[in-house]
Amino acid sequence: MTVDRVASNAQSQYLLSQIMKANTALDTVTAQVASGKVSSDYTGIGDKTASLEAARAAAARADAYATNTQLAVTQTDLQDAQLTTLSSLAEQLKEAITTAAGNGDGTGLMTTAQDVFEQASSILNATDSNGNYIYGGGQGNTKPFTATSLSDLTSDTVSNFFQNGSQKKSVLVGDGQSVQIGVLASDVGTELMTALQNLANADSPSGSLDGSLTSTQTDNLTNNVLPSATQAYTDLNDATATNGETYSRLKDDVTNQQSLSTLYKGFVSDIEDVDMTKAATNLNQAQTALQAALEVTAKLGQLSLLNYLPTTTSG
Amino acid sequence: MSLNGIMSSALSALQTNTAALRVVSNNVANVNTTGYARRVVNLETLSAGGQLAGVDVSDIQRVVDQYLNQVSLSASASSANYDAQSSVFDQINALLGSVGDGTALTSQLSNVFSALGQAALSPTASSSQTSALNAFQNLAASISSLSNSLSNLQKQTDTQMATAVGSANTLIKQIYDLNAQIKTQTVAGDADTALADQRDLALQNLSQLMDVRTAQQADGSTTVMTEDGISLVGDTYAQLSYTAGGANGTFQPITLQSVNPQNGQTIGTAQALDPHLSGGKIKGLIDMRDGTLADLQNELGSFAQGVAQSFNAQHNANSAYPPPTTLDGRDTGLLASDALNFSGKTTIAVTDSSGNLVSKIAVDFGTGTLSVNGGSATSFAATVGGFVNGLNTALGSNGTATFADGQLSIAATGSNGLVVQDDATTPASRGGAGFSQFFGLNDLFQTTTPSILSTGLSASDSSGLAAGGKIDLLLKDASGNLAKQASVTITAGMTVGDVVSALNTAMGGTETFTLNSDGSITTSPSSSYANYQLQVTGDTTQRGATGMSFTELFGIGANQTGQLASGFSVSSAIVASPSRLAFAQADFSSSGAIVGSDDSSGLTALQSLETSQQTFAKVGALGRQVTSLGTYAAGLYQDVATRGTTVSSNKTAADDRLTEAQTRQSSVSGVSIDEELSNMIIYQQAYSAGARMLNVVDQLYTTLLQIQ
Repeated sequence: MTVDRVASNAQSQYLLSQIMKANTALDTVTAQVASGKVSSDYTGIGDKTASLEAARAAAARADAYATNTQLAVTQTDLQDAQLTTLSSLAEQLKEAITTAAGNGDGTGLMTTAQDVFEQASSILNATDSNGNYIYGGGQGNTKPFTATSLSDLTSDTVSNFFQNGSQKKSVLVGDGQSVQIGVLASDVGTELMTALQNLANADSPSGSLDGSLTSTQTDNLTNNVLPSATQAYTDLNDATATNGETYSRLKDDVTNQQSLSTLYKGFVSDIEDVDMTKAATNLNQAQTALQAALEVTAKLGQLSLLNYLPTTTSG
Repeated sequence: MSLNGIMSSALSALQTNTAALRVVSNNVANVNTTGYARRVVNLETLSAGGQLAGVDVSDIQRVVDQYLNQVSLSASASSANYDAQSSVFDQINALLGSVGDGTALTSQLSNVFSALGQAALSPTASSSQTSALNAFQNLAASISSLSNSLSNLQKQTDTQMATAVGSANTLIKQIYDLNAQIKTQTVAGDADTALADQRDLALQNLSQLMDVRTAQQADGSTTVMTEDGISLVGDTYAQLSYTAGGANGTFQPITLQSVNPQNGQTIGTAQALDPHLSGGKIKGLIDMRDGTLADLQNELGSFAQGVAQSFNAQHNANSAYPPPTTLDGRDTGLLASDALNFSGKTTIAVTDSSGNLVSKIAVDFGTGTLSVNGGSATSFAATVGGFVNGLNTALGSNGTATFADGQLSIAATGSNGLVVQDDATTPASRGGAGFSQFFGLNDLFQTTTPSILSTGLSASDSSGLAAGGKIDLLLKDASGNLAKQASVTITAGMTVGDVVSALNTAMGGTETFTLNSDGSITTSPSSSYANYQLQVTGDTTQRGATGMSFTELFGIGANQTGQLASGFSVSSAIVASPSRLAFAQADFSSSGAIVGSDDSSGLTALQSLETSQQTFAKVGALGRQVTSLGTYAAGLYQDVATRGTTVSSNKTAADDRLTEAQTRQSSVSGVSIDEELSNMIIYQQAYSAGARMLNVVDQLYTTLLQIQ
């Protein structure tokens, strides 16, 4: 059996390199424990990099969908309030006509009609925080409803007063899932304005529907004006309900995207976050390894024949 | 036997042991000297006429093991190779930022779509447009700055390599000179010369730069050659030469030539060294420069191309509100005399500042006619210039259309705006790109070289290149082997097909150029050169006054894709006025404005690019794939990580191998203090014993002289 020689310099170099290795290992684990991340560079993540980045992008996408859908929720919420008002205006108009026709007394009917017209047209021409017409259907800076008074309505066909575009706003609430949230002024206003137009036409000459009404007038109100007011009321109720459904669907979508985001963030965390129990154990081991390397070096440094030789031969 | 005989033997013991102690002393003194091999003293009996007459030093031997030395040299070359690669990777990692810090391309891309989503409900609000523009700019800046950093790193690596080549030359010359001196001393009988230690050190240093093999000669000299046998030091020595800095990302090989030591003149022809290297720092740097860094730049370029093509295609199909008054196209490299080669139909409309239609020009490229506001069809000449003239006439007082230096510009009069939209059923197309897209009239992203490589040119079209322009090509593999180096000089009147044939002829079958029907050129190496890459080392051709060279126009050459990323930016017109972001889509059927101020249908189409699939050609380590932009970017990071992991594990293995080789080598050649100390005791005791013998002889003489 042969015993290898051990060269002094090589041995100390070797011990030094072992200390450095232990130091590097300790450094890596310390960084992991301190940052909570597996690695700060992509090399440290290795073959999971693509999955990590894909999951991170998916989480960001879900977050963006949730945020944008939330904006749409606010918009539909606002529309809900306005559509409800429109619907109650239609109801008011219907009630007023029914009362006037039933009692044969038109007192206050046209005032109510004027009032309904003004409120309704102001809603149809409502603008958002950017000054764009909410019910403009893509044509955000064109007034969607142009009649300015009840008497205007009698001058033209109702549809000509609606200048809104036809593009209903929609939002992406998920990959490839688009939800239409936009409502067009012409969709919700035509029936109501037709009813008002019919009423204004019935009030001919102007002011003739005031006070007690003739049977011709009440018949006209019951047979021609009331049905269109009722229709307006029904349609607006439907529109409000549809908008309400959109609202709750959007709410659900926000929740869905939020849970998707949580799920993806879990994937991200699984890859890039360090398992603390494991890291703490590794830290312990790395510390022990470094200590062992240092102790061995210290011990071996003391071992030398030099210590056993007399300093002088005569002594 | 005489007393004098005893005295002389004892004296030889004193002298010999003093010499031995001197060796021990040198060994101890050099315990930490790099490259020092311990010496051992071999003793022999001294004889005079066949009679023992004391002791002598037969020789002082330098303890080395040639095999272990060679193993150590090769391990050192391999370790230096990965060491160089690993330090470049440290810099790449620093460029990419840390994981999850939000600077990654994938995150920047997510930010773009997130900003688009937030703009969906109020597409014309300036806050929406500014934040979308910021997101686009950040993405573009990330791409271009990463590309430029990679390119700088590539140049830096190249400079480091040039320095390493210089050091290698010095070491080779040094080894040759030491060889000469050692030979002289060996003849004089001095086999343990300290020059051998210096030579070993020089060899060790050389092996860190390039892998070498050595052979010990009887005369004491050492011949040095590359791993595959190219001589570096022998009767003559070799010198390497390298000029740092490449053109177009293409770098020349290192050349090697023998030098006559007598007069310093070079002998024979220079040969490329690159293919003969398999280790050492130089090889590591070449691999990073021509491999990893070049690949990453090209992968980034391919991503940039995907982003530019997909976003530009959609952005050109959209319209901004209010419609922009001028549309300035990209440099298409086309000449006014080029055939139009468009098919399908498109509509070019002038609107007022509120998007209401002023004039509508319907262009039918199939019949070569255009009609204004539904009027009668007027035909135009089937050239680019002919069409532009026709368009200009059709615009009349409403605007102008001009074509110069490859760029189409359309301007509306006054505050009027312009809308261009391809027909939904038979869209205008040249090489697969729509009318506005091909001319880049409404591009979102701009690149310094064309991102659309389907030029729509056909073989019979004039090449438009002035005679005398020259294209220099190089077919090279990753190890630096050259398959073919060739040039093509343009002669007068060449068609595109002629140039392609000339390229094929010049490459002599090593690489095939094919002009496809969409006007793109595919290049493919022949089967025997499957892993070779075509590089364009120079191109002085130019299409007319467009400034566009033939290879730029068709994106020929392994480094062209990488160029797309370096100048990647958001169109300067959009940066100057964010309202040019086209988030609406023209609706010619609308009774009111044809472009709505609050229309976000174009924006929704841009949003869908997040998940839509794009086709990416094979580039670097990323194969041909059909995938989303985000997935491709993630793949790019995966490639960096995989390469980084491979290098770091190779480095660990090579370092361990080096440590092991050096430990084994030093267990033979290294100085052991304990061993030297025990030798010291042995020689010291022998010296003392010899001295005692002299004392005894002295006493014997005294005794003898006292006999009276």
